[in-house]
Amino acid sequence: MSKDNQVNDNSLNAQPVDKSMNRNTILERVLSLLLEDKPLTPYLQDQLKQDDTLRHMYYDAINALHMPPEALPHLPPPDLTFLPTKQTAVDKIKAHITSLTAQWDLAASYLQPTLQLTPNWRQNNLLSNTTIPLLEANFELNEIAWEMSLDATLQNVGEVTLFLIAVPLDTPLLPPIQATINWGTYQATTPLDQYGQATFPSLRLADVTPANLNVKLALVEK
Amino acid sequence: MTHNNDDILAQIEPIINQIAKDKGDAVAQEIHRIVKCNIPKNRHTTFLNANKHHTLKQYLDNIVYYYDQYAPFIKSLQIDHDTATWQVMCTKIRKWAYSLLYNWSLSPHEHHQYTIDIAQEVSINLLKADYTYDVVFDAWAYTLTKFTLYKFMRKQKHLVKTASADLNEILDTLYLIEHDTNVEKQVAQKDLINHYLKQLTPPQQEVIIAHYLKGQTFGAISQQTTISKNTLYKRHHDAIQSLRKILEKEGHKDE
Repeated sequence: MSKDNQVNDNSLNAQPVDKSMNRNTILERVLSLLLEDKPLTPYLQDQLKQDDTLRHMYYDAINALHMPPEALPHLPPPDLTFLPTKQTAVDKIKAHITSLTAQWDLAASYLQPTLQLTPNWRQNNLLSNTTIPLLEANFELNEIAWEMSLDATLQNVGEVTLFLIAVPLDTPLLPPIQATINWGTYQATTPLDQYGQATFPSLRLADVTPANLNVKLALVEK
Repeated sequence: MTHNNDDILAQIEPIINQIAKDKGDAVAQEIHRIVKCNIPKNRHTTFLNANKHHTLKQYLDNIVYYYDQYAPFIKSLQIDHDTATWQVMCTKIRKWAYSLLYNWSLSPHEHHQYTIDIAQEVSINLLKADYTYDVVFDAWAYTLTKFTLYKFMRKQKHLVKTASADLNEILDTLYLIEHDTNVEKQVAQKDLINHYLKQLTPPQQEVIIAHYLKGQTFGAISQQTTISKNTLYKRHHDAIQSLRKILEKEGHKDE
């Protein structure tokens, strides 16, 4: 045991920290080195030798992390139904298409898990400017085949911008078209630009949930 | 080394500015957010204490290193919900849960069923949890698995760990033997080690002695013996399983 580390050890104990949390953080560092195949530092070795619980957690972890694949008995395939998938999105989105308008209702029960509207997620989203696809659809409007998508881009904490793109598949000529979004107290109408794109004013998620989202595309009548 | 959190936050500002210059504003903002989440958990303290030469800048460099390495994977896991990524992750979690459940005296049916249930809970937790980017992802995810498993076992009212107590004693004897000065105890420990180790195959004895008694990494053992790491992992796992069976046979399992 290195005497140099004794000072550090005392300073660690002087911190008003949750012992179990600290133990877990030390364990993570130990395992991190183990997984990278690096030797433990004298401080971490000392911690393992001094703390029975930590050391026993370390033994458990060596077994678990280095378990050969064949050691796991036959288990059914993992149940991934907790992940929102495109298939569930199709199930939850109702489309209404007439000759002049096409509209979709996105249920709140679909939107919430898709946008991960939990306070924790909103405050700690992992990547800035994250774009989440809300809707992708192929439809016919006025006998023309279209492809459209609606994305939500996270801007600030609790705030998103909606971006819609709708393009005809068979003709390069884009008829004049406008998109309207209704979501709780939020309402906005924007004409599609020459590339079939529309960016909507940003909105606060707290103002619109838990409401259904309605997106409507309509030919602009002259 | 003691600092309050405001001091630490003030100290990281110039480091964050440097990261912004090197990596761009978006990455610097993310690193800043991650560090601000980690500081109240005192995660930096463990890093600083681990080596007297460690600095706060190195802690942030560490986070940048892991961020570069794992950010696309985390995005694929937590934002894109990529099925293939999740299937690989779920298999890992199941292995960890299965192995950790050896610590409780469970029937084979319970062991099997709890593994599936716990893996499912861990996966749901993993969907929203904040990775700290200061250790290898698997080490962090393993701790999350352990937390979830203990919570699950408390709910199931399996409050007492039993099966692994004697196994830990054997491993402790190997791990701590150098530091025991009591001669009588050393003799007893040697008897204990001889009794159990001689029941393992020579290759199993070799890996257990090298890792626990000599404190060698699996990589170092592999280099020394020219045996692949996967083979060493298998031998290690088989040795631990054999020790468990020996202990059960000798009636150490409290059930």
